[in-house]
Amino acid sequence: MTPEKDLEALFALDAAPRRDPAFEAMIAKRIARRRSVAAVGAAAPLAVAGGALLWGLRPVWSGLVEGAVMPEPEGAVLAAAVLALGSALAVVRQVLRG
Amino acid sequence: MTDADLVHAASSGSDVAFSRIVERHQGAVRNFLRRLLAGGWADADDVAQDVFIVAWREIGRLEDPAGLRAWLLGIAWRRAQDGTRAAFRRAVRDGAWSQSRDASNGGSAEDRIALAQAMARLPPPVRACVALCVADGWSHAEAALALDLPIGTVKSHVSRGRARLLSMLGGGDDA
Repeated sequence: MTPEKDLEALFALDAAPRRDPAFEAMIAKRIARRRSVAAVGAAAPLAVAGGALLWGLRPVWSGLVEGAVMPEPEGAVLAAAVLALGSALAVVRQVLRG
Repeated sequence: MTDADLVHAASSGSDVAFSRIVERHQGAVRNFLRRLLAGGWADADDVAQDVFIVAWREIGRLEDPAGLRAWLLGIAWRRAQDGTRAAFRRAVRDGAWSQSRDASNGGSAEDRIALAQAMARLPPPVRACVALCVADGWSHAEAALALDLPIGTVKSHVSRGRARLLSMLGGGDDA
């Protein structure tokens, strides 16, 4: 065997398999995770906007819910901020892991 | 289905098409990275995963869908460059190369170590050209496209790299 052929044979020993379902599944899993994170990320601003809209319309719908316990504005804003922050942190953690 | 068909489908959001792209090209990307990272198979496969994630994100920007393989290898080359030296040192230190090789494939462990060490001594661009053209039989033109190098430089790197490898492995002159 010539040195060139020896070299080719040695390189061939390092070759990855032509099909590797485990590797392919890992990529598919990471892509699926990124898709779900993107979906959450896209929905978060809508959820916050929806919450703000509901809070803004409180005088309209509060009359419809007799006896409902209404949070003070500061409490509602704080709760929305905490929710938004928690969602953002969850998204960032997913992205960093994915 | 051609690569161009798969690229068009994947650009439109088809995960099935992208899975076919991974299936079709994972071998080429991993082979390249294993040789470029000179022995650290686990590191190479980690980088290969990142390459396909980047490709999934950026596939809509691929201008020439028929050049998919070269594009993927270009991503691999750019991502691997920074970590090449550190990955090799880690692989040698941890002995990862020896644990991840299948002895039943033949070839002595000493030969494999010698090849990994000889590859690691080549400058990264030379190593990349050798990995593509000598180890995987790519044309100089395709390697030039993937690595974004002039074709004359690729030819020179391949010639010099092959000679240095043969010399270091005791099989020829260091031309």
